[in-house]
Amino acid sequence: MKPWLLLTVLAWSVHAGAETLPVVEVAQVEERWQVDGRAQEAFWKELPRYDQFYTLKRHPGDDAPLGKVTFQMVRAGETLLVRVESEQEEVLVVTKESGTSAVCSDDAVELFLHTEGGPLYQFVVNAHGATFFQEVGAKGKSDWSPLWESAVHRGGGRWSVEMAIALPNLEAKAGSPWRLNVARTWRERLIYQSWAPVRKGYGERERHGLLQWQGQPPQGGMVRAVLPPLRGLLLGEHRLALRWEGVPSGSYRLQVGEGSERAPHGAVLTPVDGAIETEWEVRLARAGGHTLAVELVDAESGRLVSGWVGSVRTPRLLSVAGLWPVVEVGELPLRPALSLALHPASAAQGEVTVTVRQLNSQRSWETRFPLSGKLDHQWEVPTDFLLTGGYEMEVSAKTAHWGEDHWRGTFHIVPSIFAASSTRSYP
Amino acid sequence: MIRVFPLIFLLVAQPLWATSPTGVVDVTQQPHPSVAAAWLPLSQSDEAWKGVRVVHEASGEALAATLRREEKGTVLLWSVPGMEVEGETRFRYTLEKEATGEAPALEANLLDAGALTLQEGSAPLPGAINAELATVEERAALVLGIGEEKEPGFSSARFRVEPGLSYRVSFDYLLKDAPLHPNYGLSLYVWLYYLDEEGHRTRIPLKETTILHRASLLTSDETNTDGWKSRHYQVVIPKGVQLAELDFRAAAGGQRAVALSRVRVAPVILARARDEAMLAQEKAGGRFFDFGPEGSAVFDRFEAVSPKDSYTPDRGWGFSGMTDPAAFDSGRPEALGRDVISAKKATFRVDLPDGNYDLWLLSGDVSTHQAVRRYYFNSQLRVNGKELWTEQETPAEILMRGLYDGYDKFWLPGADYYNDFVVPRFREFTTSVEVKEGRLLVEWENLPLGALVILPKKGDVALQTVVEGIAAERRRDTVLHEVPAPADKEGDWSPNAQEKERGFALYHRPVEEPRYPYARPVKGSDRLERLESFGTPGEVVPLWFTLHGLEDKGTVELEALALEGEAGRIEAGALKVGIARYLFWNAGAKGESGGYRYQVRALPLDHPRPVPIRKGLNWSWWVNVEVPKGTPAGVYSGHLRLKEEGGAETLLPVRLRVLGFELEPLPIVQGFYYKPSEPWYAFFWHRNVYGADLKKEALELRDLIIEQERRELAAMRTLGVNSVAFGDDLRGDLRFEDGKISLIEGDRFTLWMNLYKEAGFGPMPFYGMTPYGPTPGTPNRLSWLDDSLKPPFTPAWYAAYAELVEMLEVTRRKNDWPEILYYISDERSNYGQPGADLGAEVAASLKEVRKRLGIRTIASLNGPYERVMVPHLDLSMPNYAFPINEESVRFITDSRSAFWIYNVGKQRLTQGLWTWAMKAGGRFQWHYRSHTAYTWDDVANPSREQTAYSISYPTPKGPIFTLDGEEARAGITDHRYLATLEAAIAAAKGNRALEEARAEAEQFLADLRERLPVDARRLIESDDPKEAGGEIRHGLNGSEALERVRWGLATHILKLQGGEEGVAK
Repeated sequence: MKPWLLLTVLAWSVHAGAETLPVVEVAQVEERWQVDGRAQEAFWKELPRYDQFYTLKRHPGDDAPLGKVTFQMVRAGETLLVRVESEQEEVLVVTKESGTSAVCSDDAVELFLHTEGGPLYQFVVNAHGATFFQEVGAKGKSDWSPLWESAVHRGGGRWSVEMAIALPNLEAKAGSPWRLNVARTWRERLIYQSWAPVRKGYGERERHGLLQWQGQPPQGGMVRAVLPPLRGLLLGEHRLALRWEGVPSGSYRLQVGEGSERAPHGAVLTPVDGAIETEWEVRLARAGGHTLAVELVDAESGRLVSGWVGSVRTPRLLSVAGLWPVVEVGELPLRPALSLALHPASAAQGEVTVTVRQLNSQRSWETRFPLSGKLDHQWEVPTDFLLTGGYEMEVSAKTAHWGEDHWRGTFHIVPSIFAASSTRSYP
Repeated sequence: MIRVFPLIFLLVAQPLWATSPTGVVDVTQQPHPSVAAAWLPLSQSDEAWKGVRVVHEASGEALAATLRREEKGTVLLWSVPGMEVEGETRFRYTLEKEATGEAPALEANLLDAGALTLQEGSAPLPGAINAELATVEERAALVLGIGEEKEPGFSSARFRVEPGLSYRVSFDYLLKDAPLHPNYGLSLYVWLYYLDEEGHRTRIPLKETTILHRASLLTSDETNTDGWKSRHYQVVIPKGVQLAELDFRAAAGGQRAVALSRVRVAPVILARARDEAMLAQEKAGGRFFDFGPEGSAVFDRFEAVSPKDSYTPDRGWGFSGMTDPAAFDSGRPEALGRDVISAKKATFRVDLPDGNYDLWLLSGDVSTHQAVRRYYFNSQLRVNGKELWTEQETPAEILMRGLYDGYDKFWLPGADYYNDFVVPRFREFTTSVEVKEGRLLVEWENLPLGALVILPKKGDVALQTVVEGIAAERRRDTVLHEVPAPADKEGDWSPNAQEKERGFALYHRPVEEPRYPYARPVKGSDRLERLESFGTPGEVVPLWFTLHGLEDKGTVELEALALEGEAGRIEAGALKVGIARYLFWNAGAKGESGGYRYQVRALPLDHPRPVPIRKGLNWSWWVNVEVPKGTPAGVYSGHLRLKEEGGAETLLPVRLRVLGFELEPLPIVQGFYYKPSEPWYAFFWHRNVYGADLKKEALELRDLIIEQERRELAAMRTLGVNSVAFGDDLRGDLRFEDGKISLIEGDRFTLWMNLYKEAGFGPMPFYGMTPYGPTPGTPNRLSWLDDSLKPPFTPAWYAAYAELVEMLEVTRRKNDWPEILYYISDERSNYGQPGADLGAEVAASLKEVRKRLGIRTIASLNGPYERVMVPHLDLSMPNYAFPINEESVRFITDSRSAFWIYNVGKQRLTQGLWTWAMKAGGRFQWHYRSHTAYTWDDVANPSREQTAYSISYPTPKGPIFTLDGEEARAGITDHRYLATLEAAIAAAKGNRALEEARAEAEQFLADLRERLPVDARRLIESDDPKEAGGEIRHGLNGSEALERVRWGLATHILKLQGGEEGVAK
């Protein structure tokens, strides 16, 4: 039997003031693990299950069984693994996009973690796997998230969530006890259940339960990553700077990457007055969402010291203007224009192809021109090509370094209201 | 303990020197230095006086003093040293021809060390906690966070304040690496705390439940401010507060992270000096009384009178009789006019020596602090038995005059808000009276009396002079703030020779742009040669242009002439001319309470009238061509004629193509929210009525209401809508007996529903029902019916709530009214999850009655909290904040609820095309009109209901629409074009000759739909799609794009209905 199983496996309670607060013990494991919601690792079978939940509210007249909710918790190195299982035959999945607080209104489980006096972290996962995180009371909710991942598995009349949270990434007040709550919402039946005996809502930190760590409590939050807000980044090459504060003396390395990929970056770093200034290049080569990550690891042990994960959205490369949805024949010729949303420092070399096709017809017209470093271009579609009818215009910009983008739009050439020669003053 | 002394300014004028007026100021001393300020008497405000000397009389010390010229007069500012002196200390001032000596800080400041001058050996900062004076970025500053306390802060010196008056608080702050509070994410809080006489922070009861003990001025979530930032606030001191102090608190500690500078507090209305004439009035035995509720603001020199002031021989004045007293304080315009005492009958006695007296009385209840205006009927005023006033108007006349109040104040260059809208709220009475047996009796009934001045006739002082002086001071005290129009856009337009010759230019700008009086054409292409459009028989086709004056000329008015076509004629009477009327818009208080803040902009399209041509001034006309049904297709031509004073005429060519088809009706349930104005409110609610029982005395009002509502409903129908969300909650019209709810005899719901049915409307969302479902913090409104229903969600409550719905439904069926949609809640997300959960509870409680009666429930949803309600609703009606996106719409439909939309804007696009693309079953917008105190003077209303939301205005000639209303009409018409094309496509199915045309039309609609994103914020650019990584693909924002789309729809309809011949090649 592993030593951590010698620990008492039943939850015990402490009195906080006049209140009795539940306590959870967090054992340590060394095994490898994978977050998949399926509890495939052997240790889950031996860990205690906490199943005493308070029902804060349920709909009057709903006498159906509540369905059992249990959770387990374990520490694997510097990662906290949490598993919540809810007995529930059918789930109502509504929010499928992560990052919105609407996730909280779904069939969802919520985990609250904090040290007394430190920030409160809220991790939410709904039955579809959509997630929401916020650091309650801090700024920059939208573009900061600790390193964490989650997965959901449904089947057998229950749904399970597994979460893995990098503890060094959480700020903890030294010497303060760790507190937590686990909660579950069953949206359609308006059932709210909480492990901690809260009264004002799941996040009522004063009434959260306590964490007892096997071994030393995590020293999370010793190192804070400070990065200016990332907004409106265009495609292209960017140089980002990040400052690490509160870094103990020692030697460190940087790992950077996008999504789950990480690669070492730069030389070994040592803090000056507890701070390390780092810079790295980011190449945003496609439009859309990017999850950028940077980690500070101990150069000798490889242990994760701190990290930063941020989400940015880059606009698509190509946009086209000057194309009314409906154009009267008297208004021709047509002169649309394109612009490239590319970081000015990133050279725009390549070629543009414009194709105009008449819908339901074989007729088409095409033009090509080089980009030649310019970000804006205009062209003219010959009037004699544009008979009345519907058209599709396709604009393709192929760049030498920033991939390609295609724009498609439709427009309709219609007769003039009065005569082909007249133009109308639109209000 | 810090001693606090009242700061009172008393100016006692001295005989004028031959060349240098002088006076004295007695100040009740404070222990700390301050900068005092007072208005100089108007008689001494001559700009010839450039300087002033102020001397502390007891010590002979000369003090820094200066004069500041303001638009309203001259302010004397001087430094008052801090001294531990009981009582008053006298300062003497002398005006001088030249500026001399040292000037104090140019702001009045009741705060000690507010300007934070760093002086050697300066006294310790009173009230300072954990702060020090230092120089920060070249400024004298107070630095917070020098000790170990968790939340270092600074409390200012305490200063005396007067309840009801406005104070301006300003300060600069600088944050440097300020930590944020872990729970609240804030770095700095600034509060104004209210203290009682003992110096305790006090709690003020408000509406029984709310406790207010401080005003929150700033909560900053910044960490670094990158230099000094300035903030200013205007705060009205609540009743019962005598002292106040400022409290600055660094929310999360931080050593020297927060610095403050230039902290100032000063009354918005300054103390006043008295000149010779004023002193003479008092000397001669003049009496000045200011009536109002106990503790309300008192005009300088006047004695406060509240209903509690009964007559006593010792005092020699007071109420000797009073029945049903009522006293109100509206907060504006100034201390004399803002508060009044009314009563069913009041007798105010003043003991005076026998003799002859002149009297001036001020009456007028401005009601500017609430959404309804109080009305007084059967009012009378007598002085020693002599009748001064007896109301002659009938209740109907009074209420209708109130409804249209201000309509006659058409904005013209030079219009003055104060003269047009503040002064007419008051009625003044002057009279002479002989006092015998030592007493004067002023008696009034149902009259709001604000002030009384009594002057002995024998003195040299003329009442007229006194009254004029008071009027000037009242105007000076009234805070007026005009927000300027934004600067014109840059462009290449310049007048051509013809325009210069004519003295004006005609131009066109997009309809959706705001209209300000002084603007100009922007682009050369804005120039207008003719007006052209198209439409269908039965449609309202708008034509719209603007005149830009190039020189000052006489007046001009627009006349529409008949349109002639080959196949017929559209008579001139079908062309309805409206002029875009400029108004004083309510520009929002923006932290400046107690005054009038406005901007001049165009909003309603008023009945036509001549207007002056002035250099730079614009007038816009809107002509709705009501194309008669049955008008043959073809091109109709004619003119609009601009007739100038003096005879010159300009003809603007008009061409209108009438299309050979009629539009389908709107395919969804669409309308606006609506709550009737007067006389509805007074007659049915009766809460603003004084001196009459209208339901007994003025039954003719019921007929007037019917006539009014008929006109309003008919006007709404012209927009093309088919529904109205009725907002009256029926209070007083419901009865609860033996567990059954019923409507009382002559109830207004029946009256209105009959009219609604008569006007031809469809389903009616009964918005007035929303308060009957419990909301956190608000009493359950079913409790109005019976005390047993006070606790919600009891068996009795559930039964009564379902009974209410069932009773209305049974009544509906009996009367054959259109469907009632039971509107169970509104914007519950404002109360967070608890509010939404209650909403779900209410919705779920109707499950049985919904099923049994086949009725439909509806709710407006403004946040994700209300997702819990959706499975329990028949119709879920979100706005942006819910939000509306692909996922949320799918969620609603997956929950077996119908997707409707509310409040996504009055824009043409969101009213029409977007609503169509969203396949919403219904669409409602706030609002056609809602009850406000002053429809034609929104600046006087506490909120911006009329100028920000309403799409219509009442006029004696019937309702008129606003520019927004016309945009909404255009959107609804767009939707009808879409429905017409869809019907034509459906009709063409199976017709091989039209196969190609049908395919093209379907393609057109598909392309259109593709351009319309689900999230309308992208569409109207309240959200930047580029910033969000989205794609700019719609190209539909703006009237030009929408006009093109409508024409595209028309061409396809024509093709499908008989080939392309209806369209010019």
